[in-house]
Amino acid sequence: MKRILTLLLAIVVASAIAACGGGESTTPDQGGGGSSAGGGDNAAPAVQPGGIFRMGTTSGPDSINPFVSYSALSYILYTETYPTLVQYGEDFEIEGDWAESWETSDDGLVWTFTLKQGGAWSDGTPMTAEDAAFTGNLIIQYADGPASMLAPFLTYAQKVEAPDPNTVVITYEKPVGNVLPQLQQFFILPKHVVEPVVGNKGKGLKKWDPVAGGSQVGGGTFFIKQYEEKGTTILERNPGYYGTPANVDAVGVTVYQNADAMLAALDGGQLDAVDSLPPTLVSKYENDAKYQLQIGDSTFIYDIGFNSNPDKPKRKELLDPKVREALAHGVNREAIIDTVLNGYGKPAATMFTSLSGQWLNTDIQPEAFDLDLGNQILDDLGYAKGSDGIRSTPDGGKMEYEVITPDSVDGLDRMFEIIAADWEQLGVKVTQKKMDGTAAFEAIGAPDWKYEDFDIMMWDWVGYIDPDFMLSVITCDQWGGWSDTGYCNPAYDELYKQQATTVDQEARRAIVWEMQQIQYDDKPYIQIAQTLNIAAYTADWTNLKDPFLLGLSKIPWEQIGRAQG
Amino acid sequence: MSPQELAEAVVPATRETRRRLRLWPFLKGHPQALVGAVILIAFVLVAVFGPWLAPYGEKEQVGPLFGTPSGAHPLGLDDGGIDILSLLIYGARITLIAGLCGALVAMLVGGTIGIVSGYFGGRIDNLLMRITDYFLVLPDLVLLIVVASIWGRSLRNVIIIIGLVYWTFMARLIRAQVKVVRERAYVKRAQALGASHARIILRHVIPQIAPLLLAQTVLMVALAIFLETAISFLGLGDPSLPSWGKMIETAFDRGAISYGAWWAIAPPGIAVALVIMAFNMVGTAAEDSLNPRLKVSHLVRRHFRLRPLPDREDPR
Repeated sequence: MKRILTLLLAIVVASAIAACGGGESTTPDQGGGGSSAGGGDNAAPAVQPGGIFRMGTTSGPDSINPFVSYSALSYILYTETYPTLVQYGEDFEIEGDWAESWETSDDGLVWTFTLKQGGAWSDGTPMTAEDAAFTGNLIIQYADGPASMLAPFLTYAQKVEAPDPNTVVITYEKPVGNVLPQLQQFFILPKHVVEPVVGNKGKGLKKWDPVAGGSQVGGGTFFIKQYEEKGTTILERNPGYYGTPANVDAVGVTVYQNADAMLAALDGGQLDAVDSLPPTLVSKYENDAKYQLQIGDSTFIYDIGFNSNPDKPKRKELLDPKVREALAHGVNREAIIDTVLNGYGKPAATMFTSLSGQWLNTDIQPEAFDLDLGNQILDDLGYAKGSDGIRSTPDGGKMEYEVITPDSVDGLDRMFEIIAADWEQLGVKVTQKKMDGTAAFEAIGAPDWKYEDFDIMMWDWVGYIDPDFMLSVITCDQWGGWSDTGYCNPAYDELYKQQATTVDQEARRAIVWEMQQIQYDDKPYIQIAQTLNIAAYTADWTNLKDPFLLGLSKIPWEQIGRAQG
Repeated sequence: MSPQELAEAVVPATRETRRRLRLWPFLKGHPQALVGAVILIAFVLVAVFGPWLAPYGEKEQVGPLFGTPSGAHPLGLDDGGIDILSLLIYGARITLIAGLCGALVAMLVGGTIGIVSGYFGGRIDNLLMRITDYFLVLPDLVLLIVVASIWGRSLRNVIIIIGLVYWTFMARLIRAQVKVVRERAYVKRAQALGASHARIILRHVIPQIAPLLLAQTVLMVALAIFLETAISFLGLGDPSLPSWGKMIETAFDRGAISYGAWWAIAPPGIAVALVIMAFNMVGTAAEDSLNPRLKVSHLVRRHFRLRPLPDREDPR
């Protein structure tokens, strides 16, 4: 369950195939849907006004109440239906969203945002800075209670004020290094709708039903007209949106139980796009002129995790970074990417992918696949191979381990097969213990979040652009929270606190790089590979290039439509 | 009941038993059982000699993902580039072991409970039957999902789950039959002569119900294989063993249907269907001739025949 909590699905950076010529060459027509782009070859393809964009997904929203939801698609829906002060633009540079401009006080504690004027919620109520102040203070007030899932986006924030209807002022306790990337996920809710449901001590927040009145009161590009958790959710254009209105009239998101059903709907013309295509099917859709594919980086990384609790009672040999290094040399990343991901992946060495830009420590390279070297390391440690080819530790224990894998993550079975076969050649025998996701996470923490029982697990992490979250998951504080290794290193934790409050981005980068190095040296994880996200859409839609179906940035709906002619 | 009648009641029964256990006449009288047996023997041979028959290893990548069927790989390759024919051969062993052992567990547990319950009757019967009823109303699929999640996914657990789901049918059936046998005169006579319960059960009851037990077990193997396939397809089987159900699951998960890779799904499906059909053919034939409930017993035992009437109405 925990990984789904990571909110972010995948980020498509580059469009692999642009079916329409000239699609990328110039600034897109900003004049609103339907107006002619001038007919020149260099203009963005003109689009038909209106229309409904129908998207299919296999990982749907779990709720549309921001106080309880954790799935990636829920957060995508919020990004499209609630205002945020800032957003990531096409190159993952922060740009203003509802906020037109902002300034920081000299001590970095007070952030003042000036809002765009004239926005209205979908029920016609004008949007004011009061909505932002209300939402912010609500989250701060109930950070340890009902608003805990939203609290990380306002870490160290003391209060949010609205001195006038177009100004929002956020005051922090101490300087924070990533204010804007965090605020990008601070969804502003309509005060007139939420205030009546807060209830005693915020108890009403978790029970809030945003579509209780028939449809959601939204303030983004769209509002949710109809919500069905396991069916079709319809987003309708918000007439009062403060930005450039969307070209399409509505967006439908349909949840499918499996990829086959979804692709049958795509083939049958009931869908215009699917958010992720199994890698085995790329060749089929690639060669079909009816479809366009977008293949781009994601922040999804497969990993092997070792129990790193320093007080682990048994099989302590696995605590030794040398042993882990030897095992890392037995991970054939190339074979895994070829077989499991059908080539649509990249080797990973740290918890970040290239999407994280400067935060990714590019000095760290994945361990080479080298069984001889791995064997050499284990031989040098004195773990001799027995007659059955399995090594023994000096205290007589055999190097045989169970590897916990959650059944909810695609591809882990095949991946385990490949790794187990290679590790056997290192004299280490592993057997797969496949469990339900929740049970697997509990087995990792067993007993009672003391991290004593498990040895090895395989899972994945899906990170954000900003490194804060991924760095936090192996801090001591995360025992019983996000930690899935029981790793606890006070020096690392100190660096973690330091990076969060380092405002100078270059200095913060240096700390973040150092933390990745510590993680690489201690190896609570062996990072295996990142996946590429593959989205498919029908060829008649245009301008879906670049950030499309993201978890983090807004989709440029004003340009998207069916191609004209 | 006169001593004469008593003797008559006993003697034919023993004769019947002896006749029932003769295999060849049975097969000859039931051609469908013969066909089933041939199919079964073929699969058992494949399962036993699998490692020598399989052209490639069960984890050996020999070509591209979802490679199409060709001369070298008559059934094509799966999503990991592994030869499907080889997987099918290795899978036969796992699937048959799971099916047979699962049915065996069901037979042992269900048989024991059925015999104890039917023979002793009264409170014991009541108690055991209520337990049976309880398990009978538990929804199979939910039960097995819960058990697999709690105990973990291994072949042993799959076998236990199959036993757990199917023993109730066996217990009910055997209990009813034991109740009939228990009331037979020769059993009463043995009791009167002071035979112990154990002796009566072992010498008189079990021989009487053994054929039925056997026939039901054969039928149950078919069910067990079906359930094993279902469990594996739901991803609750042993992830390290290539059972047929797991082959279907992996192919399904990895988009074989959308890819059009029918060869990744059809062969294990057909294999499962064939084996289940074969067990059913043998099982139903055996049941037809062995389950007393399925025939009008006194008519059969006395061999009533239609005799020609006297020539009273001869037209000539």
